[in-house]
Amino acid sequence: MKRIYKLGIIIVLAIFSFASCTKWTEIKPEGTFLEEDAVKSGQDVVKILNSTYDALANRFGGSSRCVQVYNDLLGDELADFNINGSFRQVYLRSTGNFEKDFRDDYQGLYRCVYRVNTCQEYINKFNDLLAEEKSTIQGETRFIKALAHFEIARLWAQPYGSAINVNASQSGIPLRKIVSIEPVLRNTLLQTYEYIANELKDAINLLPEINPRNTNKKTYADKNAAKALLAKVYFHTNQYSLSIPLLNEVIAANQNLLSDSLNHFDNANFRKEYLFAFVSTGNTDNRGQCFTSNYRSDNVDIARMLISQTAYDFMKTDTSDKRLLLIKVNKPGTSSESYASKKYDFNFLDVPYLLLTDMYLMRAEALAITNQNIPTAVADINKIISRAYKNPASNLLTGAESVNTIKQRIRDERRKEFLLEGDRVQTFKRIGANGETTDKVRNAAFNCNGLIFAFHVTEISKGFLQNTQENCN
Amino acid sequence: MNKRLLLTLVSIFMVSVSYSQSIKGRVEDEKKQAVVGATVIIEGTKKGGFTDAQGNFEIKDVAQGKYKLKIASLGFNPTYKEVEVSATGAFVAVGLKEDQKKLDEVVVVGYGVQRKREVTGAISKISGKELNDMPVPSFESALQGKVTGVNVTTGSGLAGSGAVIRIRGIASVGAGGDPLYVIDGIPITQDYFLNGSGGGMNNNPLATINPNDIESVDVLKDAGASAIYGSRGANGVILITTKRGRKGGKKGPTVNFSASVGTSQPTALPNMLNTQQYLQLRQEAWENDGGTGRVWLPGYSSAQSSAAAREAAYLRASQYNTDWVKLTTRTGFKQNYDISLNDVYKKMSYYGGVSYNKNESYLVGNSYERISGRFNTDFKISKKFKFSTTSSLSQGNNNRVNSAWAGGLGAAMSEALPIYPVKFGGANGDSAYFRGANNPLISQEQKVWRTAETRAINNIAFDYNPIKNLYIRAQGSYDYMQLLDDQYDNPTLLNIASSIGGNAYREATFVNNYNYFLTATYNYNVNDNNKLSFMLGNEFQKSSSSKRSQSTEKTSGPFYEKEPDTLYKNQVTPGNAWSFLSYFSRINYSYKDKYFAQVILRADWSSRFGENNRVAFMPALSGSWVLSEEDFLKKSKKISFLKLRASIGTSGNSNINGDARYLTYQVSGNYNGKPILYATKAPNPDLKWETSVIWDAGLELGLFSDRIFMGLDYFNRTVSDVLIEDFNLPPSAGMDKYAVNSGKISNSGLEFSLKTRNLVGKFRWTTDFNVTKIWNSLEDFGNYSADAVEPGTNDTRLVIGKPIGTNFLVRYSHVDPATGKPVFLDINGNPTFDYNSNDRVATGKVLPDASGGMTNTFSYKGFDLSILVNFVIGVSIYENSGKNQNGFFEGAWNKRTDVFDRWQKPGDNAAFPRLTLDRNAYGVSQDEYYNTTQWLHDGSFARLRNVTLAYNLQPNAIKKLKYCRSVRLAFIATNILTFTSYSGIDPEIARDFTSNTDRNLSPNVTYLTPPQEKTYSFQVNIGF
Repeated sequence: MKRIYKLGIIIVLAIFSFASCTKWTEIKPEGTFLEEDAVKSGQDVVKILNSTYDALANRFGGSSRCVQVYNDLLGDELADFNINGSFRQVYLRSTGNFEKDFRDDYQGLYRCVYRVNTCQEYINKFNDLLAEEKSTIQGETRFIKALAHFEIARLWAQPYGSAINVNASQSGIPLRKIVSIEPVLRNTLLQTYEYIANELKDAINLLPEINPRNTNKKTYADKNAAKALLAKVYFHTNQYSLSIPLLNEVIAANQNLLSDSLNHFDNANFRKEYLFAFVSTGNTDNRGQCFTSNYRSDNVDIARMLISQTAYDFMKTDTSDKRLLLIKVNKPGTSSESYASKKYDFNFLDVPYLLLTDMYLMRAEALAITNQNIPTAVADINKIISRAYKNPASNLLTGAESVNTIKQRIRDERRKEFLLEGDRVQTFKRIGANGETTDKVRNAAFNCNGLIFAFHVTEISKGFLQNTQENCN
Repeated sequence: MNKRLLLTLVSIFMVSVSYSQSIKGRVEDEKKQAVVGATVIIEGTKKGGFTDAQGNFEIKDVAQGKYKLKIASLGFNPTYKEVEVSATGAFVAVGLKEDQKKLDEVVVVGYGVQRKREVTGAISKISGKELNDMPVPSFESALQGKVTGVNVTTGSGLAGSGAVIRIRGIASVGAGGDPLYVIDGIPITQDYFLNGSGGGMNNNPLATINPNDIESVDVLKDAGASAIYGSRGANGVILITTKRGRKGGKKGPTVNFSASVGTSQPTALPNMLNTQQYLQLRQEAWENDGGTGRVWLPGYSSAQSSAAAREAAYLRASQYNTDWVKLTTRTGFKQNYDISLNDVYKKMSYYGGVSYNKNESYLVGNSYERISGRFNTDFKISKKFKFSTTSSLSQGNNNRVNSAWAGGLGAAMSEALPIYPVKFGGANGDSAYFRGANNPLISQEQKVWRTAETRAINNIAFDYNPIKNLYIRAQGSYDYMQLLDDQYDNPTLLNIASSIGGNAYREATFVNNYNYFLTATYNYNVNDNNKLSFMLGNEFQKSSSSKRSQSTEKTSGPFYEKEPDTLYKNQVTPGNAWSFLSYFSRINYSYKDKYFAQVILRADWSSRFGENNRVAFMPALSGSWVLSEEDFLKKSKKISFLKLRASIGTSGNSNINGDARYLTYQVSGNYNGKPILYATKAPNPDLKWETSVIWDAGLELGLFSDRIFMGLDYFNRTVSDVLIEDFNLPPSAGMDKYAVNSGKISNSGLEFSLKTRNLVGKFRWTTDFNVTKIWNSLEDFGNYSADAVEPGTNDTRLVIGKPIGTNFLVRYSHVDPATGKPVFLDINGNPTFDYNSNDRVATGKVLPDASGGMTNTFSYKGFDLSILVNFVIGVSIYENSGKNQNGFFEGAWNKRTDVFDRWQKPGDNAAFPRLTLDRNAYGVSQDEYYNTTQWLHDGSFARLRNVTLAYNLQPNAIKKLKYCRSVRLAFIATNILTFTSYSGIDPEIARDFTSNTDRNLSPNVTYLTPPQEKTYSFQVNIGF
């Protein structure tokens, strides 16, 4: 029996001492890049920041769908021609809560937020970056977070303005302030825009006048871009008096940079106006794909998507306006006459997000709305008119016109300047939210629920308020 | 001195005379047929022998006297025979009786074997012979209808396709729901997604296994049986034992040869419209929408085309009437050749075999070719020490074609319209492929696609018996899989000049899977009545897979024709790696050979979980009572056997990707020329085991000397912390999906099996019947919505109170007789013309209520006839392509002739709405998928799965064949008849899947899925 016991003990010891529970079961996945190996220095954080710009660029032109085209589809500048799939749902203002494309685009914007949030978590863990570099990165992350939240709010929430100030408590969007995968409920509109503005104020403080990573292009955010974006946020939320000082600063810092070109996407000639843009590096890296694939008119018989009759009629009210030259008329004079944009007739494009023309137009309109410093408003709009008409003597404003006339002229010029750039419907909503009487855009009132997107069903957690689905055609 | 010498010589002579006799004899069964390989031993001695091919034996050098012989053979009751050996020896005829109860049949139980009598868990066994009785794409499909509690859905008619096997239902979501496959002790690589779902097919990791090499398959179903595999046994375990050397009853090796040839055809073909029908109905849709003139035709004209252009297009299209179904299908040819030999020597035995199989499916260009070899050896080094090797090497070449959604026959059922020609125009009149729309023949004829799998499964085992009743076994195994997926698009496919060359692409996957286990078993017989057995063991397994891909342009052929040196050196994509470490113990106790108890304890560590949740303890307790051994039943003339069993235990599942818990990053691409780095997956460091509590109660009852034998089991499994790998994060989190534990699933059921020997004697008739009924329900899913988990695009969801894989659809009501519009039901059940995804409800389920099979076997003299019918009851089939095949004419899909029954004028009561080119006419403006119950069908069916008619040459005839031991000729037919109300092609459906979640939730969802194959084969088996 002793032998059995000895053998038993040996066997038990052999079996239980053979393997190490922890070491043998700690396996790193192959071919994947774990966090501990991926993020080891400040330079890696910069790479994550680069990926955020990349993801942002894809949402504003780098793929077949983009925020600007969604806005165009909601508005009245596109003809009901060849609008299929998820684009059609947007055009019909019936996005539904199941469409994967909208989920991907919504998530794509929040992916930018996730990435800059991770940058903010990592940035102070590493010492290989100078304090100024860290400050710039912090500023850029805030700029991007504000930009992404702002554009999500403009598409997934109702507009914000004085006319509905009492409804500032209505639903805005989920604010993703830190890295988290937990469901987040919608904040109010007021909280949403306050958060965006505060992020941008921080960005202005943190960013340098010149971002050393920018060479000949405004690829990365700098102080001026942050001011311009904050001005735009204030402007589009009807907080004009807050936007004017910022616009003054931006315009003052960019004196004499207004382009002679009429095409905002004519990169070579218009680039000097860009305050912040998404950049392409070649045919295989086209961040303007959304525009070239949907609107381009020079390399096809007929562009994939066409300008509506309404928009064309508005553009041709004054045939001396040189911006008409940016429209291609197909089969003129026939019953099948149609119109396409020539703005995007390039193989690849940089996509401007903040440009000086917009700053002038915003300041002019803000001054007119608040009825202060009308001469500056007139001077601003005349700069745009001069460029559009080349021989403008008969078109310029004199300053003697009524404020309302000046304001309307500014708005008309904005509409012409930004044809098929995603501006029209947001301007319409802004004006409506300011309490001004507006005509309907393609039969829709400014606050029709169909003009905002429904949240995808996977976003809906307990207590999450979905947008009411309503067609408004 | 001389006297002493004389005495010595006489003694030597006497001894030599007294030991010069032999005992000869013949062993027969009840049918007077020779029993081959029976052991005949003289009791109390070591002398003995085996019967040869004619059932004869001889024991030489036996002294005169009386002896007692013990005659034994597998499947027969041991028999004792007294014999008196005279000076001329002795001859004895022995008749063996078949072991009706089969209580001493050996059952593989995991890390060992048990007598069936001792088994306390639910185990089913099937012999290798039964698997080889019918030609199937892969061996596991042959389990269909034969094993109680095992539901088998054969993949499809694609060559080499795998089956979906569910043992006692399904109770997992994101973790794999397939049973654990263990071949000769190694849990093999069984990843169905190594090659994605390209071409409409998942890789089948079991395809390279040669069914002819299989000795037996044991299916462990309850905790009492599967808990020894602990964390991996929750879905049941399929133990495969391969053949080893066996005494053949004659000198020299036993040789077996088998060959079969046969044909493959689809069970049914789709009923697509021809040109005249298509044009007529499309024209009707156009006119219904207010169109005038000729309708525009995809590939020829557009909605914007002028009336004249549309007219011209219509005339051109009318010239063609292509039957794409006919062009993409054929009668496939199957062939299989297998030769094996085995022998037993004093110190070693071996089994070796080679096999060649070429299995053409009915899809043009599709075949699976397998060459495999096996060599298993057993060496007896000493009385206490043995060692054995098990080696197999297989090469499986799958010549692929597109199917289902990817093209081929799928295109013939969808976008390949009859109005398109295959070829037209060109310099020679019809030499150029039509490329104006989907032409599946371009790819079919011009694409080279081969998936080659090289598989080696090997192990080496040492058995040591240091003292009486103590057995130590150490085994190390290595399972290697190399999967090379080669595609070559030649210049014609790419529509470029042949001088330019084509494009070659290769994706290579390598899987290294190894394990060892060490067990010690001590049998302690306290006394004749009380017996104990202790087993203690340790096992470790590690598996890692890696992927490489390579592509090149302007080349003359696929990579396998000329592998460049640079192959595999770039483009590394994520692989999968994981490991298991386990300690386990099994304690068995028996009392009087009629009361049995078993305790299993197992602890598993899995690399898939973080340190805090890495280990899981999986105990199980089971017991059985053989009542028929009790005095009060022993003399019963009616009840010949009665056994009660019960078990309870826990088991687990961790079958998810090895990196599921990690935060992972990717460096890929750049922005503004600068490198970018981004997270690809959210981490979940708290991920833990999915845990099952399983209990089972069963009885086995034999009546009238086991002429009737039945089994009944109730089982119940409750799964908590359900692993969900494809959990949809809120998109505002900025990440896609991650793995999480959530929810609770209840799965219970009843199994019933019945075997009756209806006729015995010369004409024998046996019936085997089994049926399994399942109740399945999702009990809890936290606060998550039904859409938090999406299995691909199959519209099955997780709904509390409903089974796993519930169809979640908008209810379709009827066609409005006044307008011809489809009428749906809103969420409250009110009729509406508007389709709205918010009105989806749980309406059907992809898991059957019950499934089973019935086999009738008849034998008379050398003939035997076997007929297997399998059936599935209470299951829904969601025909995901139905909305395009029978719905609106939008897009370029051909329709089925079912659509003839459409609304045409007010007052019509039709099956399908008025035809239209515009989905908006059906109220489908919001969601492009249009998933309604109109495409949900009852999928119940019964199928004549297999008919085998065989003839075994009788002994007299065999004797005339000098070298033959046995000859069997068989004619085999499969899937001959199907009885169903399902209107689609084939009610047995398992489409290609995108993930474990999809595989668990979406069997019986079809999307242009090819039908099963119908085969006719002729088979010859010859033993030498």
